[in-house]
Amino acid sequence: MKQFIKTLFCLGFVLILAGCAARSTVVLIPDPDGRVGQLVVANEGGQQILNEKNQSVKVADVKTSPGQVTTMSAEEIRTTFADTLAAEPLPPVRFILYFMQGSDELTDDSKAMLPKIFQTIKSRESTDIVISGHTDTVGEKEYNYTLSLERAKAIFKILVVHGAVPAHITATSHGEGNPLIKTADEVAEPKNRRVEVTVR
Amino acid sequence: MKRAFILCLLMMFLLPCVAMGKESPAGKAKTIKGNVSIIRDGRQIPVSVGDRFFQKDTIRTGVESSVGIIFEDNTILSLGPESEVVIDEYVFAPEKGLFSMIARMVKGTASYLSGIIGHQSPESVKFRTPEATIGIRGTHFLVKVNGCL
Repeated sequence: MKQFIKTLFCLGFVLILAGCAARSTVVLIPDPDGRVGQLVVANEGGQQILNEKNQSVKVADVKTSPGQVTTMSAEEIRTTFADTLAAEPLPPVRFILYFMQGSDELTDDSKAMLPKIFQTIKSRESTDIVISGHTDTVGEKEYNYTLSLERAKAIFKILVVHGAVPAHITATSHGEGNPLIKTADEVAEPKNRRVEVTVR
Repeated sequence: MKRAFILCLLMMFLLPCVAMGKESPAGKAKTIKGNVSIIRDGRQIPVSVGDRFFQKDTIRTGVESSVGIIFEDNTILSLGPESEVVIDEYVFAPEKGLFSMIARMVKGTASYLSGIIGHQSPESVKFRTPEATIGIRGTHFLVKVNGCL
């Protein structure tokens, strides 16, 4: 009996050791636009760099350097990560609307883009819309903060009139602090006079 | 003079409280399959589509379950079945130039797609597994962690 318990204990210990040899697998895959980024997988033992499509590395424990970089087959990626990949939400869509100088009135081109935004909100049944207002650097900072707020409010109103639920919209004002194109102060830049609408 | 000093001292303690009181959400659940829950302040709360996540939340999926999350900066994180990830830190305040995302994978499978933080401030993103830390440059990647037994 004692022998049996001893064996059982031993077996349990081995199982714990084997089971706890947790291993991480990291795979670099292309971004939705096809570009491939770069990963550095590091621990106390060292590091490996992944910078090509489907490159993969396994790590046995914190003290052992990440293993050799290999390429995982598309087949293996699909079988191992099928559920995870299927759960990925659609990437958010961002629209940029441009304004007349010093005004909260849209340019004609941007007015023409509005129906596409309404349609995107509808087709995604989005409950998560983010509006951010921006200006160029002409004028005082405080003035631009107010102007970008007015721009954000104008778009907020337009979206609500066309069926978006106010509670689903978050609006922010960035003034001249977050330009699309970096310029010196007091520069009129049409591309910075904008509201960005992100539909998630 | 003394009164002004005390007032200053009071402000010093009170201001951070005011700031912390209304913590902004880190992200929202966009896709849900099966049983998904968060562990917040020691309590387990079931999650449905549209629910918010905050920093310090642990996200857990059950058998044949999965979840897809979009963070405030448009980072996309999805988890496969029997997975667990802790959002140790999430700060997205572009107007103040503050960015941080520290996630810790406990077990299971995950997919990560960089958002604004990963593109503008890649050094602010840390994705940890029990065995290693993954540093990121504007990237889409997959992770699998085999848990204990």
